[in-house]
Amino acid sequence: MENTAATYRQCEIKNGEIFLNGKLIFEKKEVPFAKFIKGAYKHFELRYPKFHKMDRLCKLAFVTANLLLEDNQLKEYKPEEIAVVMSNSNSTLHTDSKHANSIKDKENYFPSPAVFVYTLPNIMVGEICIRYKIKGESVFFVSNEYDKEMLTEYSREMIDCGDAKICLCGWVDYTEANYYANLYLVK
Amino acid sequence: MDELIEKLKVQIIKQLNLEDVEPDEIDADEMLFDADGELGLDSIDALELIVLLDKEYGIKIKNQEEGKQIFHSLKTMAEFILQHQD
Repeated sequence: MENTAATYRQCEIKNGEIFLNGKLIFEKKEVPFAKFIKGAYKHFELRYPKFHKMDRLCKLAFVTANLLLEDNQLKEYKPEEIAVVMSNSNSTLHTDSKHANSIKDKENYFPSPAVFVYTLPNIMVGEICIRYKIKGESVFFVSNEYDKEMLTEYSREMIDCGDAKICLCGWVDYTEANYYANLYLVK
Repeated sequence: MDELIEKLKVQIIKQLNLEDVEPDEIDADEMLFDADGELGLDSIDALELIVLLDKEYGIKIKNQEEGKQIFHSLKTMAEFILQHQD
């Protein structure tokens, strides 16, 4: 992606690789996602105990956001001035399936709160907001395709209307077969 | 006791969905609910541990104060299980 006047700094994770502003900063290919993302967490010394409890979608969002926001990118802004605009296409399908499997047997019925809390995609937004003490507007869209133009325009509208001064924006999607994260800042 | 602690580590990793934590990374004496601890467990995880004791060991915990003592560490959990198993 080329940065425009409105968007700057982006982090992208796909196929065992992490790019910051287009530059490859971490690579761990040919390993399952769980090992890849833990490898990135350790490599960048992110140190956040709650990370271990997150589902895979949240881990993907958390690592992407941490790398995007490193070097104190939000320091000029009050918590209420920072908005989050995110989207994906598979919602929390991976964890939804896990939860469904845990309750399908009526004779062995032990639904797990630790799994259930991750059955809404906006928990990704929540985890990022808790980590960075963000208290501004937030929205999460589920759509077929990554419509970056729409997300960026939505963020610009929020800024133009005075609802925010900066937006953490983008796409984080996870399925067993594939994953892709692309977060960027709009201001 | 040591065998039970090792078994509990595996069960807790599974129950709490800690898929990237290895049993060796959990210290049996470490406070389970220390906010700055390695696992950083919270109230939802306390529910999970109550479910685990019920599901795996047939032990029900109803008293909140009792729970605090039982879930202090893996070691205290193991001691409680050994005391209450038939």
